[in-house]
This record gives sequence, structure tokens and C-alpha cells, in this order.
Amino acid sequence: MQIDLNNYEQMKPKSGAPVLSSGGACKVVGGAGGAGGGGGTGGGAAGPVLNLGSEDGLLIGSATMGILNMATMGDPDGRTATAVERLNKAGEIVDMFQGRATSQEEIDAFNKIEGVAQAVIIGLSLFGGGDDEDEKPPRTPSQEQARAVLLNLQDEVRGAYRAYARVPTLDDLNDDPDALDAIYDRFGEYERQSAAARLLLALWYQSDQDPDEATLAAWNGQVQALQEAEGTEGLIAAIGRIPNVRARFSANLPYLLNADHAFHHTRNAVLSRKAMAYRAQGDEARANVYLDSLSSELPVADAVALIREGYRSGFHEASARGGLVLERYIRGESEDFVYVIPGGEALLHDQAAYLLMVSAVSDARVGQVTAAEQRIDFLERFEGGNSKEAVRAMARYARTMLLLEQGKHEDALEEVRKGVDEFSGVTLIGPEEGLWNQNVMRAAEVEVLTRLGAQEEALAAANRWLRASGVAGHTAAPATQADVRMIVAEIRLQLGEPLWALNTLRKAEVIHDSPRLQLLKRDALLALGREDEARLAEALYQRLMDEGR
Amino acid sequence: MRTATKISKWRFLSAFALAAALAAPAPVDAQYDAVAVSPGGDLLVVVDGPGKLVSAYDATTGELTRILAMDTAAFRDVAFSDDGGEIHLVGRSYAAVFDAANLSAEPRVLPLPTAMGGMLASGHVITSSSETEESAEGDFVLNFTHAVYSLATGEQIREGTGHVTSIGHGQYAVNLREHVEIRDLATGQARRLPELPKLGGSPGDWTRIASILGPDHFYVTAYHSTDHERDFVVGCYDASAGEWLSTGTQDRLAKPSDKPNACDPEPFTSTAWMSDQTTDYDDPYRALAAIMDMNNYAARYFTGPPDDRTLVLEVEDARPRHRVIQHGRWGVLETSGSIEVYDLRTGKRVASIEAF
Repeated sequence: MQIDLNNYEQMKPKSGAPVLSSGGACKVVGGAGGAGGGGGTGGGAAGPVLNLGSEDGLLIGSATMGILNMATMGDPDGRTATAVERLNKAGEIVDMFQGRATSQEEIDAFNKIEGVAQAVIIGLSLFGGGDDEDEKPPRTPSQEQARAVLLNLQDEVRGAYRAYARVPTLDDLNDDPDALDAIYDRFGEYERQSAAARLLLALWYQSDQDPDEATLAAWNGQVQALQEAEGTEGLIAAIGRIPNVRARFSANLPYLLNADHAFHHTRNAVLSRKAMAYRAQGDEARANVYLDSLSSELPVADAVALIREGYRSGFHEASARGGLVLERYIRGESEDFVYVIPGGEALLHDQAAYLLMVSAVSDARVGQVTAAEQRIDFLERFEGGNSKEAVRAMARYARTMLLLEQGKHEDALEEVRKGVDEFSGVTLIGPEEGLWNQNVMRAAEVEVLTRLGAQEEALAAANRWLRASGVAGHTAAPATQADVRMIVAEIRLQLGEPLWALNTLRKAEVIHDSPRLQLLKRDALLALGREDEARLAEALYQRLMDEGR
Repeated sequence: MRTATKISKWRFLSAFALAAALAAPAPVDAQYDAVAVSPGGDLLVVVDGPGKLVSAYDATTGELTRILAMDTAAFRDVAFSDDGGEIHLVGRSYAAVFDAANLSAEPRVLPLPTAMGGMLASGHVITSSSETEESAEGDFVLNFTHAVYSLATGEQIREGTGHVTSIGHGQYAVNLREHVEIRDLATGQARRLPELPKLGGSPGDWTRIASILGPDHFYVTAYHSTDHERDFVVGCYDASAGEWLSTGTQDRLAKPSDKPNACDPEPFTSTAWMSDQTTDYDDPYRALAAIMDMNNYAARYFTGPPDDRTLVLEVEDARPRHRVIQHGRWGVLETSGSIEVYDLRTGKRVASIEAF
């Protein structure tokens, strides 16, 4: 089977910063008056040029070294730092130095450095620092193909790791500025390998069937040809042109690099996506057929996908099904479980707690009260996570939603008001970018008030939530800000304030666009009698749906 | 010599919090960080607090017409040029100049050094910064410096010691350790304000925050923190007459019987004005905010005696307003869900937009 990589030109490349940013690595030159150093390899576009002889360039160099040192960081007790700790520290360093940046170029450079550092740290977490490549032997020839690419990537990660382990301090850098060029060469190669792996997996994912060896070989050939012609940037652009996989593959690189799960993931992800597509079309019967055809040995990664995507799309049967699987894995402490999200145990448990909460709400939504209660009870006793308070807040949220679904409105309101007081400072920690990241009880307060028809109170609660999300130093993730603004806009529409709803949506749109946002925008424009613009919003909604966003 | 504020070591943290407050763009509960209205009243620009979006509105219809900029933590102030042709925006590390007649055009961007904050007025931006050092006695000392930039050329035209808390009427107020100076933006010429009456102890024990009310009128709050309490002395100085028109302690001004119109917030008895006044340090007109009355929807439009007058805003409904601030000619009232902008010359509402 051949896939024409240029068939998707109508899809513009994804904007925003993925884990690995596009283009080549930063190019660094030596001290004042020094000769130019090597740039990113693999054909990537040259990034900002840093002059280490200047104060600003030195700052960036210092930040880079600090971040890179994080990859080998141990704490004072000699314990090896978790990937989460390293990521957090790298982020802190980038924030600190970004605060001193004096131009957008420098800010971009820091973002790129952080992206590379994240990728390296996650890669190390994924593959480990030891010699365990053979721990999970490939099961099929096709997996072997993919695994070969990934092992190359692993070597590159280790190569980069060793390279900057040799240049651990700024003093070393001052002695030998060219050493940094070598590091950036490594990064460039790492980016190229990573992009090739992602494109290969994207093609695999996009196909409706498991590829045979010949197909995989053909894909590899195309990827190689494209790489030779257009370099790393071309590979990344090709990933960006493939519908439905763009966001997933750019944002979830480590998730997909787990080759041992790729096979099952592909099959189950396609099945679950088809189930969700039929559900979106209103064909619940066919949706459930696909849902039921999912493997009973559903990899936990797919359970996670079912919960996350099912919940977001309103396919609560899928979310509930995923929750059941996830809980089983957690109870059994399956080895598989620890491979769900590379990045450290605490992060993993926070993620798991969040997913349990979401699936419990889904159980409640589809009337599975017993299952919901079981999941909430489990969550209340859940010991993992960075913050016990956050896990308790999640359990409280799920119980509130269960009461709401059971029609016990007054009880739900009482529960949520107690929760707002008790958990007003709780912020969930985890990779989710949904509105739950900020403050789960504020979300519950708005939802309960809305469902009770107290729109003015709900609007005030949403505004409090939005205001709290913008306090200096605690600015919420962009997607969170956009989600809360959408909630505000929805309430304003219910209150008969379409212009203010439209204004709010325009603010959300520049932060984080989504199909739901465009639908709300359409409704606001229709309420204002602006039908031409409403049609444009509807077209944009369709386009975003086609892109799988 | 740098301006220094001496603090004992164990109070360092609270002093650090004060420095942060001085740098903070707005109180935590504010719905926006800055508002500017074009001289013609047709264009409204709002810096939104939570998302740090800079949004331009058609003031007549209240419709958002363009997002001028977005940055999660950077924007501090926005203003129109005196002729209304430009929109000036200042962020943490840069200033931007937009063409008010062509909002889609790329702005002219001027890099600024990282600083505590920036204030805009009359085509200039002023940034302040501070450094901490430990004295021989073991106290921590905050040293404040500031710099003045021209938005026309991007050049730094002046720098100096002290913390700048107000800019307007072609001047800026510099708070030095033992007194306040009012400096001319164009020439840098300084006028030193006399010491506020009723300050006890040494002048260096007091921290001063000055606001420019008019060309010759300045409002000064001085406070002195002890371990358990903070003493306030406030006053309004008329430079043309060379005298303090009214002074007071705590959060009230005394009302001199022979100066019924001068700088006096009575009968505006809202308690909100004091919290605004003590937190919104970067607002060049914050003292005028103090004389906006959220209970009676009235504003004192101060041009100095004898032109002071009280204006009742033409508020359409009786919804509670929880924050009132004046931005030059424009007064802003906030409800829980909206921002209303009034023309303080006429009392009429010029725009009403959604909160956030």
C-alpha cells in the first residue's frame, strides 16, 4: 500500500509548540568574534543564532547547560531524580531565563531548548539509562521494523546524553565553545530520527489495517526519500499534513514511542476511533459494535485513550469501559500500567486519578450508578499522586456529578459548596490540558449551577474561576483558559447576551481553537442575525472536525 | 547615591511582598489590568487580566474587533497617544506601538530591559526596578531605580534613583527615601515636595507613594510600618499655592473648613477607594479613583481649585459595582460580569463590555 505524502496539502501544518519543535536545533557561535559553529543537522531550518560572546547569548547558554544538567540530576540524598522532577526543574530554569529574555527570538530559543530538553528527558525515562533494550523483544516482523527506528532514536538520545554529560558546566563551555556545537549537532540528528519515527507511526496509525512487511518497507522508503529531499522540517510538515493524527502524534510522542504497545494501540485506536465516529453520526448501534470488538486484553494505553477521548466527545460508554480496564490495571499493579505514561510514578498516578474521576462521571452519565460508586470509592482510597488533596478533590467532584445525575440537585449543590471551600486552592497536576487542570471544584460549581438553571450565579462562578486562573504565577494552561471562556460564552448565550458571548469566544479562539468553540460562535452569530459569518464558523467547525482536533 | 528602604531581616519577606505589590499590574480581583479609550471615544482597548489578552473594541457597539496581542504574563499598561493616532502598550520586556487607524498593521516593537513594571503616558514609558542588598547592620535594603524611554525613538532619555509611582500631565512622581520629587518628562527638571505634616520620627522611616492629580496638584500617601501595625498619613499638595490643602491620617483626609473643594474625598465614604488606592500603585491617576464613589455613582473630576466639580455618572441600573478606577478622562466601573466606561466630562457611558 502506497501513501502519497503530498495528498494532504490542504491541511496546514499545526501551529504551536509540540514536544519537539520543528526545524533544526539552535545554532550557536563561539565567543565574541569567534567562528560560526555547526548548526542543526538533518536539513532542518536554522534556528536563532546565539552569540555566546554576548551577555544575552551567554544567558541562553547558561540556561541550556542548566537544563541539560537536569538530565543527570540526583538529589542530595543520592536518589535519582524522577523524570517529572527533571522536567519541572528544566521548566523552572527556562521560566527563569525567559524572564530575562529581551526579544521574541530569545523567547523562541528558550522554548526550543526546553522542547529538546523535554524530549531527551522523556526519552531517557522511556528507555531507561541501562541496557534493557532486549527486555521486551519484538513480537512481529512489522514491529521489528518500527523498533529498529526507535532503537536508533534511543541511541541518539543516549548519544546526546553522553555528549552533554561531557560538558556539564558553563566553565567547560567557556574553555571549549565548539563543544556546544557538537551537542547541537546531536540534537539535530535526534530531531531527525524522532521525526522519521513519528512519521512512520503516523502512517501506520492512519491506515485502517495492520501493515504487512512490504507496506512498512514502502513507508520507510518514502520517509527516507522525503527526509533526503526536505530534511527534518519536511518530515515534521508531512506529519502535520496527515489528518486526524496531527495533534496526537505531535503531542504524544513518548506515548507512541512505546513500540511494544504500538501494534495493539494501532488496532484498538482505530476501532475506538471508528466507534466514536459512528457515535458522532448518531449511529449508536454500530458505535457499540466497534466498542465491543475491542480486545478484551485492551492495552492500558488504549483504555486511557478511550476514557480521555470518550469523555471529551460525550461517548460516555467508551469512557466508562476504559475506566473499568484502568482500574483493573491499577489494582493488579500490572507491569503494563507503568508504561502508560513515561515520565515518573507520581505523574502517572496523578494521571490515573484524573482518568478514574472522568470515567466515574461517565458511569454516572450512562446510569451505571453502582460502577460509578465503586470507582469513586476506589478513588477516595487511592494512595498515589503528588497531592492527596487533589485526589480527594477529584473524588468529591465525581460524587457531586453522580448526585447531579441522580437528580439530587440540592445535595449536589451542598456537596460542591463544601468542596469549593475545602479545595479552593487545589490544582490538579498532570499532563491533561482540559479544564480540569485548574480547579476541579470551581468547574463543579459552575456545572451544578448551570444545570440548576441559576445562570447568573453560574456566570459569576465562572468569572471567579477565570479570574483565579490568571493570578500571576498561576496562569492556567491555554486550553484551560479557552475552555472556561467557552463555558462563560455558553452561559451568556443562555442569558441572551450573544454579543458578549461572541466577544468572549473571539478571545478564546486566539488562545485555543476547537470545534466546540466554532459551534458556539455560530450560535452567537445566528442570534445576532449575522448568517454569513455563522456559515463561516460552521465551515471552520467542519474543518477542525476533519482535522481531528 | 541610590534610594534605599531599610528593613530588618525578619521583615524582609513582607518587604519583598511589598516590592512585588509595587510591581503587580493590578489587584488580584481585578477583571482587567489596564484600559484606554481613544480621545474621540470610539475605540476601547483593554488588557485582560487572566489571559493577558489585549483586545480592541468598537466602543460604540461594544464588539471586540481585534486581539492586538497576547502574552500570558507580560502586559502592564496601555494608553493612546495624545493625538489618538497610536496605541501604546508596555510589557515586561518591551513596548509596542500600534497604529490606531490600522489595527491589523504590525506594531513597532521597542525592547526594554527587564524591570518591575512600566507606566505609559504622553509618548513615554517609565520602568522601575529594585535590587536588594544587606547592610553592615544585617538589614536588607531595597534600592529602587527607574528609567524613562521615548516611544518615538525607543531611546532611554533619562535614568535615576527612586521608585516612580505616577505619570501624567507631562510629569512623573519619584518617591525617594526621604521626600518626593515631581519631574518634568521632557526636561527632567525636578520639583521637591515639602514633607507631609504630622509625620513622626525620622523622614527615612516613611515610605511615600505620590500621585499626580493635575499640573500642580499631587496626592501623597506616606506609611510607616511597625511590627504590628502600619500608620498612614495622606495629603494633597497644591504646588501653585505652595501649601498642603488637606492632610489626614489613616484612610481619611481631614476637611479644612476654608478649603471645601480641595482634594477631599468627603462625602465619598466608600471603603473601596482605600483598597484601590493602596494596591493600584501603577495607576497614575489612582488618587482620582479615590474620589469616585461606587455607592452613589459619582466622580470628582479634579482639575485643581476652583474648577473641582462633582459629576454623577449616568448609570443605567442599580447593579452593585465592586471596583471603580479612573483612567484619565475615563472612569471604569466593574460589575461581576461587565466593565463599563464613562466619560468623566459628561457622565455618560461610552462603552459596556463583558468582563474578561
